[in-house]
Amino acid sequence: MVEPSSKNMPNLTTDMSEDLSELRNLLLAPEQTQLDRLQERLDDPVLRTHEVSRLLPGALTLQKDDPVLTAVLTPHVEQAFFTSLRRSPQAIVDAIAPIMGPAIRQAIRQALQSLTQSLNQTIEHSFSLKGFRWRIEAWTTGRPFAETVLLHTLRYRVEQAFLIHRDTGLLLQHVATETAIVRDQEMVSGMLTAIRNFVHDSFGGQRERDLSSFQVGEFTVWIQQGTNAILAVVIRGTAPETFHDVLQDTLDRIHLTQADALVSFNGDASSFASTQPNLEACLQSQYEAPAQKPSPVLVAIGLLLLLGLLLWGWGSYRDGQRWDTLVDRLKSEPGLVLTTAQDHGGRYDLAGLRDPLATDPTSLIAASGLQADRIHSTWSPYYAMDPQFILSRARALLQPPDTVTLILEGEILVASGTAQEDWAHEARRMAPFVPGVLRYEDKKVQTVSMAHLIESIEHVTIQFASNSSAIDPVEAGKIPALISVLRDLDNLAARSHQQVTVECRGSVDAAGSELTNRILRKTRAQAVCSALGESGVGSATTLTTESASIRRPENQATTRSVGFAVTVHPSGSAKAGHP
Amino acid sequence: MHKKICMLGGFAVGKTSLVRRFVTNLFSEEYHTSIGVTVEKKILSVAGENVTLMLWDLYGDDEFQRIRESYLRGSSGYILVVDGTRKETLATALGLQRTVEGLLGSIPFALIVNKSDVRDVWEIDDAALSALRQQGWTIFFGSAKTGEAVESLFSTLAHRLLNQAM
Ligand SMILES: Nc1nc2c(ncn2[C@@H]2O[C@H](COP(=O)(O)OP(=O)(O)OP(=O)(O)O)[C@@H](O)[C@H]2O)c(=O)[nH]1
Ligand SMILES: [Mg+2]
Repeated sequence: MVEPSSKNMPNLTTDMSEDLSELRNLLLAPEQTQLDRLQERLDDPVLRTHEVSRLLPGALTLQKDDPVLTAVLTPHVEQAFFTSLRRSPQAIVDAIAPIMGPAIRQAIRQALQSLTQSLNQTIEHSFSLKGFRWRIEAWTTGRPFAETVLLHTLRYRVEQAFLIHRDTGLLLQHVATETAIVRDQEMVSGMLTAIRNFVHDSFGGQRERDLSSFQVGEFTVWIQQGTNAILAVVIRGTAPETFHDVLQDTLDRIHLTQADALVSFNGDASSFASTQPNLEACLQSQYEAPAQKPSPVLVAIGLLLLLGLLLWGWGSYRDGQRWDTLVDRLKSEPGLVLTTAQDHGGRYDLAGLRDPLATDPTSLIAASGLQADRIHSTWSPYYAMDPQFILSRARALLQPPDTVTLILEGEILVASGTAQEDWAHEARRMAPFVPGVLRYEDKKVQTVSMAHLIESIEHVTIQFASNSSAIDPVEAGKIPALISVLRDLDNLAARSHQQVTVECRGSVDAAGSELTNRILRKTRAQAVCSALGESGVGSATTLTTESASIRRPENQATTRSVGFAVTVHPSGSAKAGHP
Repeated sequence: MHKKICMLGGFAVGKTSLVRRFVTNLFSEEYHTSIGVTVEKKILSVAGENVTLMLWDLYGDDEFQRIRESYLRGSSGYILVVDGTRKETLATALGLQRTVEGLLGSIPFALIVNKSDVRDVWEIDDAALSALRQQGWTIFFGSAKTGEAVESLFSTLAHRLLNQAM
């Protein structure tokens, strides 16, 4: 307590420094935090990148007129462009296509126009007397014919244009057509100026008295004056007065765009290269009477169109005729009922009813000469009620044998002739179902069975003269009827899957020896057999002579004749004996 | 680079002959006085650069020395031609020089005393010209007939035109 100070000295010092730092903290803490934050911002690359990216657009905008920045960026931009071009050319193509497209189209259109023009002129004059003279001229002058024609039909053509510096007379720009004869455009330019000066001085200094055109042989030179430049054009032929306006416009535009260059011109014309399009626009031309006479190419196209039209017209007239014929034909065709026939200008619609037995309309369409694919047709089935159709239908359904005749009496189907019992029965059942048939009548149909036929065959005998095996004419008369019956039998047998064997049996009278009689029997049987077989009796029928095993005489007729024995047996089985 | 140069001098001093010698390397004894202007062209190579000289050969007019102003306009330089056999042509040339300077200001020019091949009838000597030399004039003695000093006359002027332009 006595020496508090000395005792507390060191403590005091520590206390003070602590106090100081506290004081500093108190005083400077906000700045310290700021400093730390700044330090952090400077050290952290991510943070800095973020900041710069925010500032960059603004910075670039500020520097947009600075050539240094442009110079620095250019190689990078170029590099980037080329890399991008290499990697995805399509993107670039897509981007520039809208610009290039119209430019290319424009160029093509111009090229086509001039081609058409020279083509027109050439065609027009190729075959005329004048054309012949010009051809000779072309041949003698060595100029192409097309060029010669152009020269002759030329109203005017501006072949050269000179843009001349007014004071020095020096040439600033010069353009010429491909065909123009260009000598020394610089000297021409100088001379033009000299001549102009001469005229100017000789006829007084007023501007309206300046030389504005003069004639040199087949050329006219037009001179348009400007404050600092002169536009001179060399014209072949006679240009319209309005062409002066074109020249003045051109000159004005050049004065506007090249004002500085014209004033400060010191002999270096390179900066006037940009006026070339302006001058080229002055190289106009006009050829003879394109308005009065249409372009031969157009005429040719027109003629072709007309021819096409005529062909088409004739074709459609002919098609019209064919169509009418077809419609008439279809209308008159039995079994077809035409309900719709429409011509839609070369396309046709057909609709109607068609009996299944009628002529196929597609074959009629094909025969009409019209293109089948231009005709659309729909046919609905129906039953025609014409007698011929009812009959055909009945025949198709009933399938009568040849021996039966079907006729139609009104709506009654009448059958006559001979037929097998089975058929007659079936026909009686089916006939009412034939469309168009109301009733069926078969009273006149004689039904036959195989038994009947066999009986009638076996009933026949062919007589022979004594000791003869030749069939005499009277007896031969029986043969055709016999054949007919044999055929019917064959027919029936075939239908029921049976086979027929017809045995021809010769007989003799009591006279003569046993041997001659046997021979006679045999030869008579053979004669009849071959007479029957000559024209065929059917595939299910076998004709045979008496078998070798001679039947005993007691059972035999003792007449000079041949008789028949018929046996029927199922197909493929062995012959059964006659019952 | 194109430059317009005018040939000035009294009549028959040989302006046309000098131009023809320079451009086509030809000479003719016949005299056809020029009427108006003839423009000729010659390309020279000056310090590796091509210069096209458009040479305006004006007619000589002794009497009034009335050179049309319009012909002179736009000239980058001019050549004064004096006939060495006729003393009065020097005076004509001096008069012309004053006229041109009045119209166009001081632009490059050179003077040639022509017909140096006929020294026997010579009327103009070096002494008469020393004053002009003193003033810094470029003076040649030459001949269109022999070609003497013709090339150097034009090329010296061409060089001076370009130096001035640079
Ligand atoms: N001996 C000689 N004769 C010359 C020479 N140069 C020109 N002549 C002659 O001088 C005459 C006139 O020459 P030009 O060249 O026509 O003179 P110019 O100055 O063009 O005359 P103008 O056009 O009338 O002003 C011609 O007969 C020339 O042959 C020369 O160097 N030597
Ligand atoms: Mg001359």
